[in-house]
Amino acid sequence: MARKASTTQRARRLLALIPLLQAHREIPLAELAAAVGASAQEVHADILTLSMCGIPPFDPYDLFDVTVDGDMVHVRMAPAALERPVRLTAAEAHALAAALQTAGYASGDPLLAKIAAAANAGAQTAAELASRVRSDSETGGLGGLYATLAAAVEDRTVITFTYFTASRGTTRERRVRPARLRSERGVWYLSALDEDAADMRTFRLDRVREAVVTGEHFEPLPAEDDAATSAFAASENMRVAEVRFDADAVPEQRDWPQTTFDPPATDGSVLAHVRYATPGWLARQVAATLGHAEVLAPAEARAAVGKLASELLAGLQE
Amino acid sequence: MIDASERIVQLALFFASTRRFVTAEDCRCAGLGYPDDQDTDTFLRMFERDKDMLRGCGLEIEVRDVEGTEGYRLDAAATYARPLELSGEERAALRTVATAMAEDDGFPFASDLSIAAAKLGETTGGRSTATSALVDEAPREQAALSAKLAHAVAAHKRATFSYINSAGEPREHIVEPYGVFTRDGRWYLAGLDTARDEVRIYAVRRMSALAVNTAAAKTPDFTVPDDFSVDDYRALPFQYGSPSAAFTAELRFSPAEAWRAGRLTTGIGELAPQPDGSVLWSVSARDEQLLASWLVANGPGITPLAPPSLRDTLARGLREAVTHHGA
Repeated sequence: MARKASTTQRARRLLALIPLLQAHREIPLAELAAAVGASAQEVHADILTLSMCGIPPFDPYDLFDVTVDGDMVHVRMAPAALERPVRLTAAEAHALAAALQTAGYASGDPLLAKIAAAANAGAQTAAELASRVRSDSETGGLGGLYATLAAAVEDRTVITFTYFTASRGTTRERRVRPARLRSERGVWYLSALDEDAADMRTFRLDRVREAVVTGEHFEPLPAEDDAATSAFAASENMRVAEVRFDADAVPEQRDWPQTTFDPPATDGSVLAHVRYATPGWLARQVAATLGHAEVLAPAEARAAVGKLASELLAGLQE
Repeated sequence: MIDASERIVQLALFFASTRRFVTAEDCRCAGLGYPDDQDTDTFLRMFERDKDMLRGCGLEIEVRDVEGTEGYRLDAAATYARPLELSGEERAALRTVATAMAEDDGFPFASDLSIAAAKLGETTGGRSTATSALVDEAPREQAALSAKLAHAVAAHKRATFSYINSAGEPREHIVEPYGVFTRDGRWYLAGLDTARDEVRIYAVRRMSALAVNTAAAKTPDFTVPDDFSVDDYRALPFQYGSPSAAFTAELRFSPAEAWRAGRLTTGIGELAPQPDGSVLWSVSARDEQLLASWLVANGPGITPLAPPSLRDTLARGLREAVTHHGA
């Protein structure tokens, strides 16, 4: 079964490589590999296979004359057949739709409809599957914003937007140089150089309102941008709070980044050591447990929870 | 014998290059890589499989009678991609998300995605502009199982697996898989539990020994009820729980926070913009405590309007928080 799947997979890749080879006299191996989502080694083997292929009766002009020389693929001859890309299969259209769903494209988005319509004879299958296999992001209606930011990252264009800072509950104008997009558990973030702060910042896409492309370009950011780190990575100036959770309200560890949990006490409650950057974030998290968690220390964090809960309570009684 | 994928590529090139309809025998004799010493039945079976595989790659093969036997050639109009009318930003979004998800261990459709992006010519040429980690726990395992389940959903084939229940005990389940979805970094299956005859949600990370019925692969094992929608199961945290506890909640997003309403509610419930700029949200819920908690976590600017008990639950919880923190 697995063997059959890998033959199909390889055949599809070989067929996808053909128009790429026909369009170039030489092309870097890495570029071909990136284009078909395979390793350079796999694509090297694919090139060797294709160099054995041709059209009957296999005249020299009807054979692939392709060689790999170091990092470069040289194409001297390619038969004149299959020179255009093949339409998407239903499964491929579905994979694209699923990927776009993770970026916040809602099911009725015109882009998803265009993708489904591009599928070969299986448009209906692709559309049906997209309605039954869903990988939606954790926030809705982000498609347009995602596209704007993706283009700004690629083009290295400065953008401005209004950003909601959850820890303070306030919005403010930002002017940033976008570096890359990153998703964790279905939530997308933009890493960008905040021009006012003159430092890299992480912005949650669902908290970005109305991004405006300035048309102003910037030089590539230094390579040390935080390519591999998590949006929740610890920074040096984080503080630690002691938070006790009631037995029936102990959170899943994955929901409290940068937190270590002690073993449960005899009454089932759990003491957690929470690293936090701003008391505002911690206050909102603890207040949201509605009395099932208590900050024991430090005093500034305790006060922040008390203040927020009082304000919310006062707002409720207005 | 030559490599199967080499033979399949040769067959594709042969179909694509010929104007006349070619027969199985033409293909056998054309030097495409079919073994010389093969008996006719074995050859025909292999030839059928190869044609199926080409169709699986997206090629449309025309069939016509040629002197009493089937002849084949490529249906070029149906096979080749037509240009997609996309804006520059849409192309950037496609490239970016395809690069990120194709590399994401937790994304079950990565290989189909890579080929799709290659066919559309939308690849970043090696520059990485985005990354993704859709699943945080055992992403490869969850993706592999979800891919298999998605196939079963598409083919309407029954699935059997061992499932660890909340008490930590494994039990075998036979399920008619209706839909697959992701929520907060985890994959889930919605399907009919055949033993209980009710639709249940299964967390993919608790499954093992998954087997999809392979008998009569092209014949569906079941039909999905017309009113099934996977959207009904993609719920917010406060929407899980006993159906008997269900109630409708009304909430208000203040004018300043109204723009966040669409993002936070992810298409769930009904949003009604008001003349003063605020937005009212009507949503079904099953857990008042979790709804009150959600409201605080996603604030400010979200107030409960109904039912009255929701406001009471929230006030009680906040009062407790105030007491704990000595304010």
